[in-house]
Amino acid sequence: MVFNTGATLLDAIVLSVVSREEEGTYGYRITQEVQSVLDVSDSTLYPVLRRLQKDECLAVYDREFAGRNRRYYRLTQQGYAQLGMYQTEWMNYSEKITGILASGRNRL
Amino acid sequence: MSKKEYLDSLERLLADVPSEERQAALEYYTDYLEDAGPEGVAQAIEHLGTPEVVAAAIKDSINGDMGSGYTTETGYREGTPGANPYAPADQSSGGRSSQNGNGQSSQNGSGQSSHNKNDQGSYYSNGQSGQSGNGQNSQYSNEQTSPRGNGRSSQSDNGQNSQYSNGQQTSQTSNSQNSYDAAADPGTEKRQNKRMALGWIVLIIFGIIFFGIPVFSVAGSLLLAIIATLLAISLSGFAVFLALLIAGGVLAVIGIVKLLVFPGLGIMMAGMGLILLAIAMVALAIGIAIVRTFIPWLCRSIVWIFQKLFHVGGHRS
Repeated sequence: MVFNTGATLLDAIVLSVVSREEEGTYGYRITQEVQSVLDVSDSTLYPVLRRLQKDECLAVYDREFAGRNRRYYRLTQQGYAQLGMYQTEWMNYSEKITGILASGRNRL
Repeated sequence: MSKKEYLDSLERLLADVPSEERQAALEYYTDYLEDAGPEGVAQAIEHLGTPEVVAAAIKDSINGDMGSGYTTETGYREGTPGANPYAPADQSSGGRSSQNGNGQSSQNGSGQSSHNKNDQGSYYSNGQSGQSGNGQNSQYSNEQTSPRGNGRSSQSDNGQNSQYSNGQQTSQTSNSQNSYDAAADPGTEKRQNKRMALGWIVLIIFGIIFFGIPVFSVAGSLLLAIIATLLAISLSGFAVFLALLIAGGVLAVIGIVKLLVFPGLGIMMAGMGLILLAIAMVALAIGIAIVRTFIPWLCRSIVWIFQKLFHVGGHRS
């Protein structure tokens, strides 16, 4: 993608992806889903998850899967509040950008 | 590299991070590779990049390089200008894009670690920072010509300089011309800084010589004058004491002798003698006081002045 994806947008995307699963979801799957829309390197997402966890936007818990414990992530109350803020901000922002880009005249 | 080798290597590379962080990261990546499945593990490892890359990303985030301002009301304001996407990116070269593809995978294999310290950059370029000199360019090239796996981690949208300042990557890339250009910048800058520092030092030394000599001589003579004055005062105090002591003693004796013949004159002379003795004692006391207090104070002052000068000089150079 030609546009930068800043740390905040990545936070917002990760929060959104995690929030879609009521039971939470796990690292590999989060990575896959984020990468389905965004070209980020695989090693990028762990630090994001870790930071969100430290900031108490995400909580982790272990659940058994196929005879082993798998670490799941889910949103905390604070995480949901953060996601709500991001959603509002993004809608505002993207509407404005879309508006101005759509109004441009390509005279090629 | 097998899953176990990969994780062992990662653990070794994270030896210097707090054990809690290391543990969490290892659990995550163990999970991650487990979840990739037996047949997907090789591909997952390839996509992750070398353990060095993964470790670097973890360390960067522990060191707070990932940005922290995300809770602001107005949204994230971190500077993310990045490289100018409209910079003259040489996209015409098909040869280069295939080079990118190749260079990149070989980098992956050869285990180069090249994380950068740049917030934004670290999201994109943990792997192949060598290409970031023309971030946009290589990104386009990769998207056009190479499969997703290779293309993914090659976009360094910004941070040309910060990456190269790590000093590890200058020779990693196939498109070495670009990386060389980018890498040359910090080097020259450093040299220039060095030269400037040298210039300053020379200037300061000359300043000390030209201004220091008059300052030192003036200060020195002032100091000498003060010392001499104080010594003179204390010496004269002693001299006055001696003179008055003798005069007072003589007068007193004469007065007592005269007392027998001319009582009035005798009393006057004896009284004057005693007054002179008293003044002599005062002079003695002043002399002693000067010697006992002013001279140690003077010594301390001199020491202090020299310490100050010495300290300041050392600080400057």
